[in-house]
Amino acid sequence: MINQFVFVLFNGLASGMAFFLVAAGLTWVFGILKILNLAHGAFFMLGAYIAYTIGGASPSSLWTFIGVALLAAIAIGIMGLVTDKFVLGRLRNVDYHYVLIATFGLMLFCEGVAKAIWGSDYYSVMPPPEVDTAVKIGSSYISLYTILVIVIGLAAFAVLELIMNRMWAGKIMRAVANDPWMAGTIGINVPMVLMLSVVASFALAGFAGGILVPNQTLSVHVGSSFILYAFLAVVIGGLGSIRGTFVACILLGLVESANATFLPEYGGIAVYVLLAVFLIARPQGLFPPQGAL
Amino acid sequence: MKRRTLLKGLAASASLSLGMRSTYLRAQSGPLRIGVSYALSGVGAPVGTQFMKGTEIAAMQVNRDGGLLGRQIELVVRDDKYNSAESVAVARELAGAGINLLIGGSQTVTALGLAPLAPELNAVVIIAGAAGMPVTHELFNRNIFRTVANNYTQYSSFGRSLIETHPQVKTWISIAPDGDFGRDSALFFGNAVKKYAPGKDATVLDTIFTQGTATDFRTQINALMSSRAEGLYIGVAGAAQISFFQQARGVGLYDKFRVIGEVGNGEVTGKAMGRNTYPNLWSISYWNNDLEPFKSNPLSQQLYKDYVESTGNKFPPALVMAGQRSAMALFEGVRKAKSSQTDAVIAAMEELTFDTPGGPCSFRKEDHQMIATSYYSQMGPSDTDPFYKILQMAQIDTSQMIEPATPGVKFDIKDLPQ
Repeated sequence: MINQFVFVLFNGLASGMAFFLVAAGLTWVFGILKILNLAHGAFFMLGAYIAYTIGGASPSSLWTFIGVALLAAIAIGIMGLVTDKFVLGRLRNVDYHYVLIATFGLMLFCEGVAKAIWGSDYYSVMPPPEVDTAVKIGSSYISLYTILVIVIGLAAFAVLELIMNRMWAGKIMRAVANDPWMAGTIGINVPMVLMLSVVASFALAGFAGGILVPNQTLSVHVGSSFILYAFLAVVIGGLGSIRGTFVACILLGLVESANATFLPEYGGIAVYVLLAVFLIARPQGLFPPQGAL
Repeated sequence: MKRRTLLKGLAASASLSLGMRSTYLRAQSGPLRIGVSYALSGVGAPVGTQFMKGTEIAAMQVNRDGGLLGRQIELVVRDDKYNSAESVAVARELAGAGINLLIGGSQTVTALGLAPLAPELNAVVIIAGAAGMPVTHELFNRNIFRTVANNYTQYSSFGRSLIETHPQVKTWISIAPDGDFGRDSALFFGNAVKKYAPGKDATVLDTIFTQGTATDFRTQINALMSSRAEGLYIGVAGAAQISFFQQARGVGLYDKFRVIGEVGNGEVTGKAMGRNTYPNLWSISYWNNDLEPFKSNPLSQQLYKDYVESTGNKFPPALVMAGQRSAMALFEGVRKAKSSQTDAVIAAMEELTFDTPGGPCSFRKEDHQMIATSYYSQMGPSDTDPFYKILQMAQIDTSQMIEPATPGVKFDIKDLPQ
């Protein structure tokens, strides 16, 4: 039984960190621009394809693997810049319905582009050789790659927390998120901050695509396996709260893992129960942001 | 009636009948239009597009040899989007356009929509790829013909084939999606392993179930790794199967199991995994031109040649043959009937035997189930493009493994003699 708990813990944490890597960009852009980007999963998918195209099916080393993920982040960040200029930037002052429709259209466009470039075949990417093995803890087999995902997830959270709470850049972003008009009157270049937020959000999606692609079949649908949990985490954590999203992702991962281990015949149902409980008991989320991240 | 009125009436009737006659003649001399409805987009597209290519080649081959009934074949292609409701809409649209010959159902989900509709549309419907038992049991009607083995035959034959080629593997286990298909295929496979094991000394452990659309298999992989099984059947298909292999490889599953059989992804998995393909992976297959018995079959050689010429790809997926065979079954039925009328084609196909790249095929008259040889391929990694290769083919005569025909009656394995 202890072995099972250890496995549930590791597995849940790994899933949670994977969810967080995807959800971080989603909650960031929501926190500052108040935009629910339905195309976030599509840019995650493009990041995965770009990482595959640059790094191939078998990355030669851990550092190559991480470097390729960073390149994917840069590429998707540039796409974010273009998207902000031609789509999101034009929707700053319109009703949110239009934003939802626009990002949904953007998602379909990205899927079409991916199909046109990479076709409808499936691809696979293996973890780098340093983590392409497992350790046995009790009777449980723990993949080193999942431990890598946990480490990268924790590091990503630490960096985001540092930026938001300890650096000027974060404080400026929080000021813009809290009151863009007032931020503008004190000399902050609000459009620039908003644009950089979109770029950062997209770059996070691209980075997540590059890091998580060894875990999933690479196809135009690869984003859908993570994006649902990312949305759930954003809702449970409190819309726009990075800290809340982080805790929610861990909760979702643990609940999902426990569900699969102890109640496999009801696979996948526990996360929806968790969501329902939160929507009833704490609809504002775990850490509702008070106008800021 | 006045004589003038009578003459006018006769003249009008004559001109009307001549007009109809000329229309009729024009229609008969035009191309023979055949509807095709496969999953060409969505998650079913990797399978549907391969069926489509095979069907296109079949039409091209027949047209090159002068056509059918003196007419060229024109395929009217629609995308069922791997969606049952869409397959119904497509079939109705094609029937509305006057098409009574239809090839479709590249997967069970769409075939379940198509099959019950065929009598209402007065169409002959070829169910090309759906192996679900209801098609030739409770959903059976005389208008449908299935051109693949059903699940019971397919997975019983697969279990038999694997235990006969790996008699040293004594303990087996399955991982399968928790649904009708997953449960059935694991059950049929396991029963056959026990039945055909030399000395009947094989043990089949309880199946590990997962969700059909699961993306995380770590819990199930851990259970497989902790089991004492040496042989594994994977009932998880499509992209999920590739994710399974990605997640399993890193924890040592490749070293633990001596043989793995998979549900039928075949080259889809090989192509995706490439050099990381499990080295003793067995799959339900239809065709490999480089290996016997296909190597010495002129129809197989011609199919390969036509595929390479039309695509430029030298590595055709096996499902291309299934798509070609499905179309050829219909074309040969029309040829034998010397008519494209529904009743005539049905009557002809019930008595039909025809050659294919995989050997002779015929239909069982009672339930319109195709009887053919089933093939199983062993796949492994390769250092050269496409970085996987088919190492050998095994075959089972499905006439030995098929259940008795009970059209209209739901299949229940408990009704079979044990």
